[in-house]
Amino acid sequence: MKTVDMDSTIHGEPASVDPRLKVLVVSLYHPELIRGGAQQVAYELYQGLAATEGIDATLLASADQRWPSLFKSGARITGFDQRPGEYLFLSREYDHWWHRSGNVELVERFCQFLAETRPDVVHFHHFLTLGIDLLSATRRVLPDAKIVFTFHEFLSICNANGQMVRTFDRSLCTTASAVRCHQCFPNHSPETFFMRENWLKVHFGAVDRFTVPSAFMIDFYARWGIPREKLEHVTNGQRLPTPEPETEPVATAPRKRFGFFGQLVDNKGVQVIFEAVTRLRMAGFTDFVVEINGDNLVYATPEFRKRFEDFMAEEEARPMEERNVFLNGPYSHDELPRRMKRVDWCIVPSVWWEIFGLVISEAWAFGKPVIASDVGGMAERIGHDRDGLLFAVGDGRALTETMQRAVTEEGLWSKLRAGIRAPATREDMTAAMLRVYRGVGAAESAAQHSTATLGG
Amino acid sequence: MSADDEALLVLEEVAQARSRDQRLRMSIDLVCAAGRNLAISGWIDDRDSTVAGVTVEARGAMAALGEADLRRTARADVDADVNAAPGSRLGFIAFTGNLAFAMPPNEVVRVVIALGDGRSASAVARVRSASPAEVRLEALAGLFGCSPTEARRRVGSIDAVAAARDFDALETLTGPQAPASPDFADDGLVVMDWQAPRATAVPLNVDAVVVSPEGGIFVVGWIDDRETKLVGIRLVAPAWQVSFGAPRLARVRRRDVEQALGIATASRFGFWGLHFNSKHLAVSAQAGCTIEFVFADGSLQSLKLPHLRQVEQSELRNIVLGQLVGDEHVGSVQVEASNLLDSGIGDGIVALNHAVVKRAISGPHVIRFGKRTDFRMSVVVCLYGRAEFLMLQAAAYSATDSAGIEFVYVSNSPELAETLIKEARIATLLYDVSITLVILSGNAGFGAANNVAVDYCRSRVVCIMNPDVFPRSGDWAARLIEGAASATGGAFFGTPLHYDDGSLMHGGMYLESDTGISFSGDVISERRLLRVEHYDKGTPPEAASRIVSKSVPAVTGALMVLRRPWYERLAGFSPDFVFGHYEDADLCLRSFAEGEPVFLRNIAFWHLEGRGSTRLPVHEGGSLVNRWLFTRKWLEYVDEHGLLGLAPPNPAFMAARAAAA
Repeated sequence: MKTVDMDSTIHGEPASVDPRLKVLVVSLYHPELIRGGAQQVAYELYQGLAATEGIDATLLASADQRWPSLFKSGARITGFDQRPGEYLFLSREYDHWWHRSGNVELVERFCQFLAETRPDVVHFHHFLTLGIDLLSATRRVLPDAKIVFTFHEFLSICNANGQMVRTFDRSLCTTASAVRCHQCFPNHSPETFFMRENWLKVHFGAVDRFTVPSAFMIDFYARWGIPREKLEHVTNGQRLPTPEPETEPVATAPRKRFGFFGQLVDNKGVQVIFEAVTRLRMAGFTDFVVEINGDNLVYATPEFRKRFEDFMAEEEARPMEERNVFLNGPYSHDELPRRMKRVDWCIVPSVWWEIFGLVISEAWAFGKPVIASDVGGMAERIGHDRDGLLFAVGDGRALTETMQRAVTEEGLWSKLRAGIRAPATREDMTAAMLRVYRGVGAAESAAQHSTATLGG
Repeated sequence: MSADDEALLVLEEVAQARSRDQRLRMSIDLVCAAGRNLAISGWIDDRDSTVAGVTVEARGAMAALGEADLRRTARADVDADVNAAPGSRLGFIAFTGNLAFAMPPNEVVRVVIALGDGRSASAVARVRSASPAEVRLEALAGLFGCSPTEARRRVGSIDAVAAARDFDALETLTGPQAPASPDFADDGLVVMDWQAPRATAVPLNVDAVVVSPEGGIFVVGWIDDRETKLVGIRLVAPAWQVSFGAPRLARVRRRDVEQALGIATASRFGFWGLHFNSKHLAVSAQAGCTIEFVFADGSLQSLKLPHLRQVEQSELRNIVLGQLVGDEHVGSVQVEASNLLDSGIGDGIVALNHAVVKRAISGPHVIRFGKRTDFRMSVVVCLYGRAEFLMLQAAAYSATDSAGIEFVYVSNSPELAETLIKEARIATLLYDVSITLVILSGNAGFGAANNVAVDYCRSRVVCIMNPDVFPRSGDWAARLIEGAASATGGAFFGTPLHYDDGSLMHGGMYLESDTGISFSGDVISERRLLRVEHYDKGTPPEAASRIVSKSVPAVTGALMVLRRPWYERLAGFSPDFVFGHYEDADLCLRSFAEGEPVFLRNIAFWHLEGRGSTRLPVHEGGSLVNRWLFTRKWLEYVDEHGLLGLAPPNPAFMAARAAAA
């Protein structure tokens, strides 16, 4: 018999007297490496904090094996591309069921990193690729630090990629339970979901404050068991490109060009647009154009992919004068102004809750009214007939009618454009988060972004 | 074969004693008693000293056996284990016919071996009750290094054996000691007189002979012996031979054979047998063996099997259990299985399992995480097949008031060792926890693994817990500790367990018996088997919350709390049970028999029953054995003491009766 005594406790030193507020932003991925909404918002916040006087900001963003050269031998946390204050968390042995890393040295290094940097606030943007249990580690190493967590979707509640869309019929889900989740994932028992929920909640117990980018999420998370008083709505803010000048007079140009911007995956709902296009043609209404901007079709289900490819093949087989739908492919952030300039309306036909919809902010930044599904973050942000149009989620017939109205109703586009408010900026979001960090309710300032409107 | 021989062939509950003193390696293999007759066999590594005497401590009585009562024996199996020179004579056999007191049946005793240099080692063992002649034959068997059957054959008259009261008398009976018999030769399942080869062949085949070099042989095949009955099978290999009498062979249904022979009625054409005697078996798989079938008409038919399948004894156990659970019977599966287990196969499986367990628990690797050394309670969790429960429990219990609690995880899955070490390290980074990992080299089963883990507990209160049990309240630890300190049911209690939906999974256990029928030729017979059931399983959450604390016949091993001295007094879980099932009820009934009925204390936990480990078909075979064993051990006692039914008539369970009413 061999007996080994082991003790691995790491504790942070008592915080020194430093008038500067030290904030560590922990992010799912570095947006420079892997694009995505959560990391983009986290990085905007980090930059906003770094630019704020009196704030000492640090970023710890994860990277995975998509960039293997960044995994320096024996390293678990490294600097990033000679950028001061930015560090990479080299994610290893990540368990996508329990959402934690099984790599002892990685967890150990994270604890040491906390003990070395001793932030006053640790703000987690997601736990994916990082590990939900790092919340408990943070509390153990920094018992006095304020821990803030931002939910970017419903992954805590829903194993179906956090979308709360039922896997067997793609209907929207409003409540998770052990049995309902088992219905979506029959290979996992109800008890497994019971354990999953409790496991996650144990670690969320270390968090002082939760923020959500859309207010409707508060009900979801409160129902799930997060104390309502710990949940706050802080809208996402970002710096957006400057619009290019319009080539046609705003008041007189025909408004028959629709654009879709986003990933070509099931839940983004581009199939609803296809149905609407088909119906419009059947009704003899063909004087419109839809431009599809985006990619990642590879991540869609095979069924969706086939439907998409079949539709586009049929479309491309038509004579040019009969074509209504054009696939522009992927675009970079820098290309956005040019792509946006080509359309009058943005359609956001998502068939899931669409937590925030950064594309709505982008459309607004370019003065494009949005036509969107009437659920979740879309319904919360868009005022029907005020700054955009809503239609019944997933309903191709309703979108058909909405598109026809958009093209034919005189003055509608100009009216809605005039109703658009400027989306929240990076500075708006930073200020709201600082209020959360300092224990002041963020609701008043954070949820209400600038009231300035774009000119028509 | 005489009744005495039959009895001797049954390897009854041989307690696998565990040395409490790690400095002296020893083992008690057998304690066998009848009134004032006592035989103890085992071994001790006393190469740097010598055994001075053996003391046996029973309830309120103690007896010392001196040098005259002791003989040392060669133990080749032990020599290899402890790196001793061959022939080191580390084995011992102690015998007396003049014990200072009459040994009660099924007594649990402590055996203390004193060395000449003042050191001592002790182990707790359960006494196997026997007849006086059997006690003497065991002593002789220890001396000869053979089976009791062979010992009897050597000494002749059983009456003369019965009159001998000490070793001197025994040795005058036997004359000069005969050389030890070769491995397995005539190891006495049945002695058959071989006759002439058959003129016409009986349809038969042997599917496999599986051999474990540690001393096990399994044979399986089929035979159409309707015309002339099979009376036995003899396996003859170059280095060993073993016989199976027909009563020691399982006869089971084989639909494939029925179909091949065109037989429309259900028939027991299948046969299989297990022989295990823990002696090393010189195996040459390539040499194969000859299988001789002997029939009632005196004829003989042989078959040459060119190849033997050689496996480790744990795999042999699993093969046998897989065979047992896969058997098709004509009558009730459990009853027919119990009948065939009665034939000696059951005892063979138990003995084989003992050997597997003994190996698995020898030299556990123990790693402690955390600096604290004093604890108020030790939670012992046995892991099998799934490592993630360590991390899940560490998280769940760390979110409660668990200061002063240590968790001792014992792993029956060697392949999980590395993962568990990592999990424990991560847990200590995340939480303020104390974890001890006890890693076994094989699957010792639930009971034996827990027994080993308790050895490493550092508190006076032991909580046996399944990995899929989670706290429902933050003060669970304080309430369990308070319960253990209570004068009522504090020595041994369980708690209600709830499914994840809040309904009740366990509110104590009661005993029921089922009567099934079996067919043997034209004879239909009944057999009763004990079964354990959980009180109020499925009771809605509202009603479940109103459970009252009370004495119950048994509680589940998923969560049971014992004061450690009481656990040790009971010698922990019985090692007889295979894998798991029924060892918890067995422990509870032993506690009852010792005067301490178990208690149900209303402190609720979640129990995600069946999720905490992997369950394989072979475990179902273990459950068949365990139910058979549990019934054999307790049916009569349960009837006599009014322990049967939802509302057992025994006065100890008045409150349980009222609740059931």
